[in-house]
Amino acid sequence: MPTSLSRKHETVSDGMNRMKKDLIPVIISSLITIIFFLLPVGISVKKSFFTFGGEFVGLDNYIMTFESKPFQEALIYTSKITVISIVVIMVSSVILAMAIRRTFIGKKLTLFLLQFDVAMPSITCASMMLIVMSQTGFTSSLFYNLGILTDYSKYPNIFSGSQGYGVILTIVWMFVPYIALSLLAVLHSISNEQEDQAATLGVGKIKRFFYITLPSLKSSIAYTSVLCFACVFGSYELPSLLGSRHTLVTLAYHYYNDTVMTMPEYMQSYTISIILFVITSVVSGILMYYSLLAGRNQQ
Amino acid sequence: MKGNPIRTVIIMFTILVIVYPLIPLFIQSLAGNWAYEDLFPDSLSFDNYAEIIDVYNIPKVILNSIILSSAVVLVSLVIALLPAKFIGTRNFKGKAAVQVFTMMPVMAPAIVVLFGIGRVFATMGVYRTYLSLVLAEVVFLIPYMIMVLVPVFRNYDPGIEDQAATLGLGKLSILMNVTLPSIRSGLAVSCMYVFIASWATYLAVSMYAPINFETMGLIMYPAIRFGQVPQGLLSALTIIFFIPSLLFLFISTWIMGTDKVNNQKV
Repeated sequence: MPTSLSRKHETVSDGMNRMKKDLIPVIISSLITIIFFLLPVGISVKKSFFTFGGEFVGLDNYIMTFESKPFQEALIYTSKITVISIVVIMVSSVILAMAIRRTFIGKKLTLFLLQFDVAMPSITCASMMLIVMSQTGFTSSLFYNLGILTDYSKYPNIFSGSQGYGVILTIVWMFVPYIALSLLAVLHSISNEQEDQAATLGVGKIKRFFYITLPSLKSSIAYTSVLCFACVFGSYELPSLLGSRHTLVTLAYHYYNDTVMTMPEYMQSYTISIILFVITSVVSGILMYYSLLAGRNQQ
Repeated sequence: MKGNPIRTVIIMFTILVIVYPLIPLFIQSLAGNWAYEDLFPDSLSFDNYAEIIDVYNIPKVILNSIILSSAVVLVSLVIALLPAKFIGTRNFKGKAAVQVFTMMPVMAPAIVVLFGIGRVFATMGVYRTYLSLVLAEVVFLIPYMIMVLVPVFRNYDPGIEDQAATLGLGKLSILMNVTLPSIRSGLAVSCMYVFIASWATYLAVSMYAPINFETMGLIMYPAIRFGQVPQGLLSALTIIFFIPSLLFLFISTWIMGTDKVNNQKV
């Protein structure tokens, strides 16, 4: 007859075996990430140190890239678009999430419209914005018919200008509902007790928001900022369709696709992609760390 | 919306901002001739749709896109389901590190991976094949699947699988009849995300799709980029492009809705 100790031993070893078996899918998934993500990144890193002919040049490609005017302009332009977009998205999303937090007539419809927006592919959004917001688009025509404009040339050309307003507008249109829905889910999971207590003690709405609600959203804001940053900074379709200037991604792809392989610009496509990767990793890492820290403080 | 006028204004403004671009898009897609000076077109018809369907061989392209996105959803699900369950239901040392590792492809700009992945595909002998296309998308979408499923599995009791096993059910049977139905809503959301993301993918498809394999994204991008397609046709193409992803949204929302009702009944 087995003793209770041996039974316990069997249970522990069963648990270990089960844990090992359950680990297999995790290992397979990790292998896929290694082969199809880390390895390609490694290949790009390696290529960024060589000429097309296979000659090792150290950091020469990077120095050449940093010194080139198109890269410098693309870096400034990309940073500007990303920072402005994220600030506008985050502020608008918090305001929207707060507005739709409580129950109201038409809440279901509002939530559906927000989900509808989330489901729109980026290329579709680009096409729609061009049709509606371009100089000869519907909005311009509407203003003309209302007598606000005398002719279409008076309407600001947001897609051809060097400021990237068209790109920012479309990014904001696409991301605000997504981030607002994510923040709304967090707001629903937070108890209203503290806010109600503060209200009964006579604390004003603005103070309640800044001292109670916003701190509880900090972690989620930082986390969603990571996703937002990664998407906006690494976006290809929107800047290439709606902007007149190169972002880092479109410049890298232009060098990769449209230049002869023996030209130095071709190898610069790899260095630009690695610079993009480093910037994204550092910023995402800082935001993730902040998100974790905020989450812990909250707990 | 009684009581707070600021909130009412914010909600109304949001609805207006979301709906506003859609209305002219729909009208434009039905418009024959719509001059700048006119607020409305002279006539409405489905001619643009008929022309676009004919010129771009839309049924075949949509079928290609549906097959590709469905394959991506299926492969992502097969790869991500059990790791998500493991992370969601167990506490172990290094759990945070595993989660960060699985999330890495989402954080990185796609272009970094896409430049290097060609060499991997060439080594494997699958460059510009259906497999390379699916893999080039799946690597970015597995993290989304895991990200949505992990919180779902946190509320999942693995004990019910043991109970099913004692009743004589096999592993596959447990998966199909116990595990998947228990996480139906989460599954619907994660599949919806992956389907929509795959449907919208352009860069990976343009770089690794087999020659002559066309998806909606591949047609749409040059149509917008080079501006040679008239606005009426472009509007029709845009609407045709986003309708399937909206249908998928409806289906997954419906699944979540019925799940909620069933849970309330229980």
